Amino acid sequence: MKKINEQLRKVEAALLAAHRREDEAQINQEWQAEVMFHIRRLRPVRGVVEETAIFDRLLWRFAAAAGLTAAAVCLYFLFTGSGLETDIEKLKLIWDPVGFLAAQALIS
Amino acid sequence: MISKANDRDMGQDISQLQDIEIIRRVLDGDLDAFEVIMDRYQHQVFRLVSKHIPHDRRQEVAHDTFVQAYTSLSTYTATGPLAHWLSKIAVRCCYDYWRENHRCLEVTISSITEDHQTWLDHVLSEESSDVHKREIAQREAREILDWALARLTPEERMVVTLTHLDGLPVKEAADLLGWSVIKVKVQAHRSRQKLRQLISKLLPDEGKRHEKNK
Repeated sequence: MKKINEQLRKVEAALLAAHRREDEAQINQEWQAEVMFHIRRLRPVRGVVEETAIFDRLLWRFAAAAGLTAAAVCLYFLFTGSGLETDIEKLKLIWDPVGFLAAQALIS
Repeated sequence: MISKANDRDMGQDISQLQDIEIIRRVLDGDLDAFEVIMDRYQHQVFRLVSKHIPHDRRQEVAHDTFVQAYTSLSTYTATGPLAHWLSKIAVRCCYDYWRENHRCLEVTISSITEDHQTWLDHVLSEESSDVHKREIAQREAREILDWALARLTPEERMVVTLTHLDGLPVKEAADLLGWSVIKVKVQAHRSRQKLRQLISKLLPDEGKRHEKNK
């Protein structure tokens, strides 16, 4: 069995080498003329090249991730509190020790 | 005379343009511009087709590839290089060719001749030889490979050629064939096993074992 596997490996390698050896592509002008003749007989193709398609694809690729992130942030603040009041209190103490009006206006 | 000179100048200009500009011209009705695309990519298409299709049918499949590229030009979305887009069309044309011709082009088992058997013995004995002998060996190797590939289904044939023989990554093969990565993985594994079994039947030792079993 080992001998057969070894033989198989050798033959496979030789076949692979034969397949990968480049064949010279022989293309003549007549062939190209025939293709063009065929194409000229077809109905003309009209349309526009969509260059924005790449942006569309990127947009949709990130849409799911962006949506999930937004949902996670919302849930986080829902269960932990946004901390907005604390931040305003801090600002008040540091920058506005006596003026409560601005903070009260923001909270209300 | 002037018109010819203008045409020549125009031709030179067109050949300098980027693919996307040329496609725009074709879509605007300038069919001659498509010839520039053919000039640029015919060698690549022929190279790809020659890996999958018998020698005498390559021009036909390459012809179909460019005609199909022309008819689907409005679907080109510039999301990738034109070369890749053309490769996809070429691979699908090869696949279509095998789906249509799989049955009628099957090579009979008797086509493995004494010459092929000599080639196998030569490979197994690791003899090195002169260029002429190597050229003949090359032809015989191709014929053996064609014999084995003819025994696979069109799907198996395409996937094993792309992944195993051409050595493309699974993801790229899947993209070219328009299949899922999983499907390519499964098919590639099965097809390779089948190919190995077919080749192993030709080995002298394995042949003797088969005869004994009979």
